[in-house]
Amino acid sequence: MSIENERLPHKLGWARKSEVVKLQDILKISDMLANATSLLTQPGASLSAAGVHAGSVKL
Amino acid sequence: MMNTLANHGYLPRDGRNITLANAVSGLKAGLNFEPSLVKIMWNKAIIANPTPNATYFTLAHLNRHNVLEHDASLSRSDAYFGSNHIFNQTVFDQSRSVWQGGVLDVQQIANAKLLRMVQSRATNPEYAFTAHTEQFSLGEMAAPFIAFGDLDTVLVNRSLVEYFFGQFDDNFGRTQKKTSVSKFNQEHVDRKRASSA
Repeated sequence: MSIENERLPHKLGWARKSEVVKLQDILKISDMLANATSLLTQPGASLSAAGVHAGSVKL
Repeated sequence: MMNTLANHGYLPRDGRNITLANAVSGLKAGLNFEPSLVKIMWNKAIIANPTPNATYFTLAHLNRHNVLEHDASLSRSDAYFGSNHIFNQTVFDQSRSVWQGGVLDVQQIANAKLLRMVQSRATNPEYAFTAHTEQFSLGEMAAPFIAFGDLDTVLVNRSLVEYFFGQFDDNFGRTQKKTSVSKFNQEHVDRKRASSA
């Protein structure tokens, strides 16, 4: 089999988290991702109005 | 990620003998995962080894298509088009084409996931992605935040994600020739059709 050379990004200053990663952390983020994969929006709302990618919104 | 942990020696470097004990120690040492979390993950992954009642799996087992490995990866080609476990620059470039700015949020990772799923469904006649696949996929998509990001804000520095996936310099430089994804996929479809005709 082929082993890929993927590395942890120590070179960029990353270090292992000091806090322990728990199941709840993964479930929380997985749920957020599941919600974010819906392509529907709320009535009357847009992503920019909701503050997402606010850098492109004219104030 | 398991491959990465093996490269660093947190898991056996030869990619074999990933027992529960090895997984618990490796994921603790490399990413500070709680042992009870690793036990849950390992019990989900052990089906990768086709031997009944196996006590270990290998990195090669994880590449068996449609067991745990699946279509529409952010950085690997679908099995239908060739290797499903070697980094593919063209595929990854497509994934990150929807990323903006230096910090990635959940929406941006979800967009890349959706993009790859649509691309695969549109071009891969053997595209498969079940509800079961989705659960694994969501866990995988959480990995950049879990490993490299902030668990409270759920943001991750884009450069860390790109480095992890393969934007290395020096000894780990990627050499894949860049072509457009649609062209890349079409060439493989043509080849498959030609070989089966």
